[in-house]
Amino acid sequence: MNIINFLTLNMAGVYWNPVLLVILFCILLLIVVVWGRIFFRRDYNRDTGQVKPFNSGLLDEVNYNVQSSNLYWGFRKALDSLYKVMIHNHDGDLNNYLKWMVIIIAACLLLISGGLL
Amino acid sequence: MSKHLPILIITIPLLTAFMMPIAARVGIRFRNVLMLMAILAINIMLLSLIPEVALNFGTIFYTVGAPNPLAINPEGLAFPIRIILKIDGFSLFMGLISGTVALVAFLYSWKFIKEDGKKTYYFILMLLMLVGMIGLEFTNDLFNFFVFMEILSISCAALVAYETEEKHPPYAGYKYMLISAIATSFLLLGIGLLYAQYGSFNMDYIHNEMNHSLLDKMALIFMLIPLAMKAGAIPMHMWVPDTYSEAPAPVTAMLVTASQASLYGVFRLSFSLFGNPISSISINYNSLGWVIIILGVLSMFVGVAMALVQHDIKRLMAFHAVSQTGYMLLGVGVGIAVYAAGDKGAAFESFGKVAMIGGIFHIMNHAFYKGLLFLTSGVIVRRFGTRNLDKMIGLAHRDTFTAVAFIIGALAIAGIPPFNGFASKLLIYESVYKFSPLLSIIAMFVSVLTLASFVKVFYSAFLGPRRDDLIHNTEPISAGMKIGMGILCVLVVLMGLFPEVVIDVLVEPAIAGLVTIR
Repeated sequence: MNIINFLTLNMAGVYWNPVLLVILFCILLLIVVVWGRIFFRRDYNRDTGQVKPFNSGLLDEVNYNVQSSNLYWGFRKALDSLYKVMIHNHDGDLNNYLKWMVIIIAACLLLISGGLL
Repeated sequence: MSKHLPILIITIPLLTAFMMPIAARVGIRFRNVLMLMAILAINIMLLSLIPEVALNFGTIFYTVGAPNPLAINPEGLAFPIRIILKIDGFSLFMGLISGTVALVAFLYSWKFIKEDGKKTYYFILMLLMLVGMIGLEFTNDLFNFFVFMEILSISCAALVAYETEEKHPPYAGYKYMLISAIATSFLLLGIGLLYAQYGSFNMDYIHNEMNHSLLDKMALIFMLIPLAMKAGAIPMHMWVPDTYSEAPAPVTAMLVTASQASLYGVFRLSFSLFGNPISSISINYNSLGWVIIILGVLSMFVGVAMALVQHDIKRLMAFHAVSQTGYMLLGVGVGIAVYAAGDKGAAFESFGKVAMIGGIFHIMNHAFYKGLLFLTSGVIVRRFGTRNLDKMIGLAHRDTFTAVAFIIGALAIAGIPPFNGFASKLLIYESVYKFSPLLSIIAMFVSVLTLASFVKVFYSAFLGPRRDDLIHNTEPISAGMKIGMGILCVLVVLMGLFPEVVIDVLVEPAIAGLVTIR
């Protein structure tokens, strides 16, 4: 019991014991393996086309992967206006980078003179 | 000997750096072994300080050049002149991070950096970087803080510009140098304002004498904003992807730690120099807490949103470094705001302190998993000869070890149990939820986007059919590279499995070093 307490993160409503999670995971894995040995199909053919990904009937292996730049296209499209601003601000121009530091320092100086900080 | 440990931890890498050219003349292997011994010695010395500083919540003062350096308590001095090092829980916490990542980066660099006649300079700069980091984490003297920051900045700029097979490192190094020069100039201006008023550089002395005038607050701004910029906080983070992406992989891992050393500066100056939110309300800490929270949330969201659309693997990881800094700022900001809100007993003990523990714990976790991810990116980029994810495929067939290391790092940064990132993020989610559910939901959403972008990297670089025609470099991964990545993998897993031990031994003393909880 003391060992379990020792390994448990227990503070202010946070209760977390990763060792118990790992033990639970191992037990579940064992169940799945045993289940698989008993019930899974045995006519799986490793060396046939059965194991290859289906890509709209294309046989060319090069086309199996969707390119990285096409992933999450919808997310980017939905936030297109935000991305235009953000990418514009990451243009690699040092003047723009330093401009932000000067702006923040000026803003903070204004804030402290107004008594906020 | 043991009483001189604080100064030895700084001078050993410094002297070893200057011995490197002589050692290289004796032999390459001798040079490498000498450097390994130096970094190992520093790590052992840092570990030997844990019982006194961390377990006993103690503070070591070391007066440089004094006949009995440990005998003088600077708080008892009327006017301290000598340079004084101060090692408390937070200094040691950061020192351990710096030492560990330096060891791993050195092992990785052993074969990763080609032996082309310039490698000795590379190692000298790496040691100077370590001196800069540990020096500014251990010093209690503002001018020394500036000097060590300069040593760190110059060595970082030179290492970023170190020639590798990539395209634009000299420009990236120049960019880092200019950013650092401007930042440290403002830092020096702030230090000068304090010196002009109080006539001393000693942090404890200035803290005791400070009258929190407008000039003091101006000094605070001149010192904090440049440090926040060097830590990569929004909206002064734009240099981070440009610089991190061009530097050699082991240097990028150390750059993460260097940025965290600047973050250390932000926290150290806010708490230890300009007052303690727990003992002094001379500055409106509620506002300061909210400023840090807003910076943290913006850093989290902008960092991850930009990362999600990157095609350059190292730029993607660099934007995640910005995003993860947001978690640290959020945790510490909530801690400050909760205390300053007035309910100093119940609310702070209930969740404010937990938020700070989560934020500080996340610094160490981030250094290790982000270091691991950058090291794996070194293998990936060298294999394909490009950083473009569109031109990568199926590396898991060839480099299983790297694939496994990448999975561990990616799951940790996304906050998936049982890795270390989950433990610190859980503390932040739970505590921040009690402060403001919306902030906690944003933090969780950012973690989902983090996972999504690392799924993209894993899918692009490691999955798919084996394509030997796209492989640019077929050299096997060296033992040093595997050991370097392996050490970080083990640390990420162990810190995830035993977070309570890390919090008890390292994080709670770090918090105690930062704030005095009464």
